[in-house]
Amino acid sequence: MPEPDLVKTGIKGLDEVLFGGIPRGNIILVAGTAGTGKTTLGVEFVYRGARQFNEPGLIVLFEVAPDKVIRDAALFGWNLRELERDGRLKMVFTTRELFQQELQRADGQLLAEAAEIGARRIFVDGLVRLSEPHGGDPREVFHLLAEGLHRENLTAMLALESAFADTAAARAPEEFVADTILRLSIEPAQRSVLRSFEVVKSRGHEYALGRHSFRIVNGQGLELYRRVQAPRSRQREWGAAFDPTSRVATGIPGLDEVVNGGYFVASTTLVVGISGAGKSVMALQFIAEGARRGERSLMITLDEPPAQVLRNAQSIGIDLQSAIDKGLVHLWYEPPQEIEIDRHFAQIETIIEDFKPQRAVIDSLSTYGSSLGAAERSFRDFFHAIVALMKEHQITAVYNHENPEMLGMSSMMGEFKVSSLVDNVILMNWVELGDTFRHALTVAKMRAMPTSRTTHECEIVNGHGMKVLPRPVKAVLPVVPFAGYLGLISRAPDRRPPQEVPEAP
Amino acid sequence: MTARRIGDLLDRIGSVKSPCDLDLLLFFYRHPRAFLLSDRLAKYVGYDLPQVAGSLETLITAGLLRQSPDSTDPARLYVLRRGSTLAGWLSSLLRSAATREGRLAAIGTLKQRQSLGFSDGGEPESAASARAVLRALEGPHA
Repeated sequence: MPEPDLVKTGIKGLDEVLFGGIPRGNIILVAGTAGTGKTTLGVEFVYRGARQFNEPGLIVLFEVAPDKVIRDAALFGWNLRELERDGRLKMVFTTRELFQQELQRADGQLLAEAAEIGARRIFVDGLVRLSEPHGGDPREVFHLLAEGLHRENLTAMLALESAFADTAAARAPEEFVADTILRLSIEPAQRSVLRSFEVVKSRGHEYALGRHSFRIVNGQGLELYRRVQAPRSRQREWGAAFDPTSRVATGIPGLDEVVNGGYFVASTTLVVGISGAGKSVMALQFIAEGARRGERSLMITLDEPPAQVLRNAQSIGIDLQSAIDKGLVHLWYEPPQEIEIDRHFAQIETIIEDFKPQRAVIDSLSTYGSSLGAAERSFRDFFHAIVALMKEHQITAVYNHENPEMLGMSSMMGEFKVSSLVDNVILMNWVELGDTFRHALTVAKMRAMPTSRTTHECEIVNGHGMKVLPRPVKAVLPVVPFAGYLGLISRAPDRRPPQEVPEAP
Repeated sequence: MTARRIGDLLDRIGSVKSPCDLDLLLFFYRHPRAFLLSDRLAKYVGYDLPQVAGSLETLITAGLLRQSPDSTDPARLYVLRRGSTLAGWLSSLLRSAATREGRLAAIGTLKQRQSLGFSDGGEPESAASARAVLRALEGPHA
């Protein structure tokens, strides 16, 4: 099968979504309401074509004065004047009516201008329903326009203004004629907004379906982030088949013995407990153990900024700054208030690809839940994606999760129903004895490893961190068979009177 | 910019003699390559069509503006001949006139000159000499 001749946009993240680019000669419709970024996308398409791919371009404007486009482009670091001077760009101001007429002429002056610089790309800003001034079938009118552009062998991007957001009413007849449709929108996200991008259709090649996020970044232009749910490489799915022989030391004295020598390589461990139960201390010790062994660790913190994390580490005798300076620890903080999850995930992917950590800690998962909405699909999708990412890179990962219950737990993760995705679950509880809350640790789940589910006492000592205390007594209570109880399934069991307990055979 | 400085620039450029000339130049400063019908252009700048036609002729003759050759198409492509000239007097004048105050000051000067019949050979440098300078300063893509 012949490879399609794809036109690269050069826009950060977009060519990945388009699986390499857009087939040359396609008529690309960019649809969206005012302020969604259509002009920026179109100008960047032409700018990067001229600048990076030696494909001169033409920009046609109907309402916005070229000097304003030049001014706005300068904010992104694009020097359009220079391209004009070099004969790689022309910007023409005209009317929709004239433009439409021009494309129906074999010897049009506008397209002659494009030919003069050998233009390969054209961006037309501000199309509305083309037939509106004089009536006629808009689909037919657009078809004539598309034919005119096709005749010139231009890859054309046309910004079409929609009065409505993404509704059936926004479907314009032009959409049926265009080869590629890119829909830009702004979606409310609680009190903030998110920009989203969708390839509605694109003839002649494959592309990533669904709504991706994007940003308009000063000094750069558009930055597109694939939605976290979008399938990545197959290798990522196979990453789950981890090595069953190697163990990763936890860094907490006494815990390795409880978990059969350490976590499996590339396993996922969830540490659950109320605030103050010792989760972050455990995370820091896990990271410090990695540094001690010369392993690189990534710590993603959403709850506490770096200075606070460094101070916390210092208080338990860990010189985290020194490990950072040695390139063994990457501490990455992102304030959780307005996380854009696709972008956030793309940033984590980049860090992992560049830093190549062997260990990772996320502190904490519940903060993602609060930011994304625990009941929302996006939280679960994000968690799925990050677990797969860690496994693909064979990173042993620990996720902290705050459970709101103070004494005991009625469920591991409450409304955050992702515990089935993890390999190991460690419950951190407070136990009230006398007038003191004491730390208790229970390994509730260890995938592919035996566990006793015994509760162990821990202590956190200032300057030293946490340790799991040894159990001097093997079993306090005699082991009574199930037959010795009543109402086991009702979760309120009673002991049978000894005379009613049947003899063991 | 003072009225005196504006007057000095107008003298040096030579060919800008009426408010319509100036406003057309300002339009093309913002839209350096425009493909339009002249009546649409007249609406954009806010003058009568005959006035606009006269000013277009003046600017083209002065070498400040290029117009696509006559064809069966009633629309014309107008290209501001910028090159290095915009870095000089013309650019100074247009930058100043791009503000409301600057434009009003320049128009005031032009009107005053019109009322005094200043354009009938009173300028210190002729339009022809200004054209020669502008051409000498033009870049290859102007």
